[in-house]
Amino acid sequence: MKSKQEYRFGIGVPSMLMLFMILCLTTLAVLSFASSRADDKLTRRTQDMTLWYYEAAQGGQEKLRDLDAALMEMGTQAADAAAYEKLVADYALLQNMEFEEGILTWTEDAGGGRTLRLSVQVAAYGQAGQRYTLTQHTLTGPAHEYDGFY
Amino acid sequence: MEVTRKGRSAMVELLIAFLFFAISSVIILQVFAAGYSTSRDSTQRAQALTTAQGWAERLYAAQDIDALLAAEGWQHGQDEYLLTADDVTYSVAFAWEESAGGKLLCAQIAASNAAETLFTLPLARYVGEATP
Repeated sequence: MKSKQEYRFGIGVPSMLMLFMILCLTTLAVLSFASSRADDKLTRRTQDMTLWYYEAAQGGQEKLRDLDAALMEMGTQAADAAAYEKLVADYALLQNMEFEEGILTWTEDAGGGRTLRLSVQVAAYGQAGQRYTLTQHTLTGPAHEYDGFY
Repeated sequence: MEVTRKGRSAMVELLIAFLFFAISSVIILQVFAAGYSTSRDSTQRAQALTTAQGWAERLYAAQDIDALLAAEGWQHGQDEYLLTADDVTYSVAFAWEESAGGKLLCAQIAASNAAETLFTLPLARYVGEATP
């Protein structure tokens, strides 16, 4: 006796394989896209950090220009070394700088919680040559405290 | 009669499967293409940034910026020097600002591709004149 085979419309083995393949491809595509997006985000962050550093450095150089011009003027105004030092201290106070033992220090915001710290050694009163010497140009990051395992 | 019906059903199933496969493939390819494009842009941006940083440091240290740029193959444009490498055009514009105590170099290094300006890197260097 011949049994009658009924054809049922449904998902066969090839269709199942195809579905599996599409799922795999979709997963790969999404992972690839997510990875490239993450890379792009990181690159843009790096770019921003770099640009902020250069902007801070530019600000530092502009401050140096202003300081040099001011030191030049102070040199002509002051009668002696003590008066010169007093003028420099007043200038530091006005410009929100630190002045200690002949060294002027100030910071520039370099973005991302970083600061660019600049220090100059002010030359002695009446000394020929440069009016200051740059002694520090340091980028410092935010302080991190680790309380977990490395 | 039975065979014909079976064949038709199989054909319809195959057609639906192919259609689904085709549509899915198009969507997946678009996602892959978007990922590739983003990755390529990101690589280009990173390379341009590294190159611009290198030039910024060289300009900072240079005694004669015009001579340096001319020697390194930069083309002198209207107000700037131009260099094209890896589909990115770099431009350098600079000026010396005189001040009471010396002069300040103000420069900008811009990188751009065919679509947009990627970034502009500012650069400054102060050169003080010595007291006689």
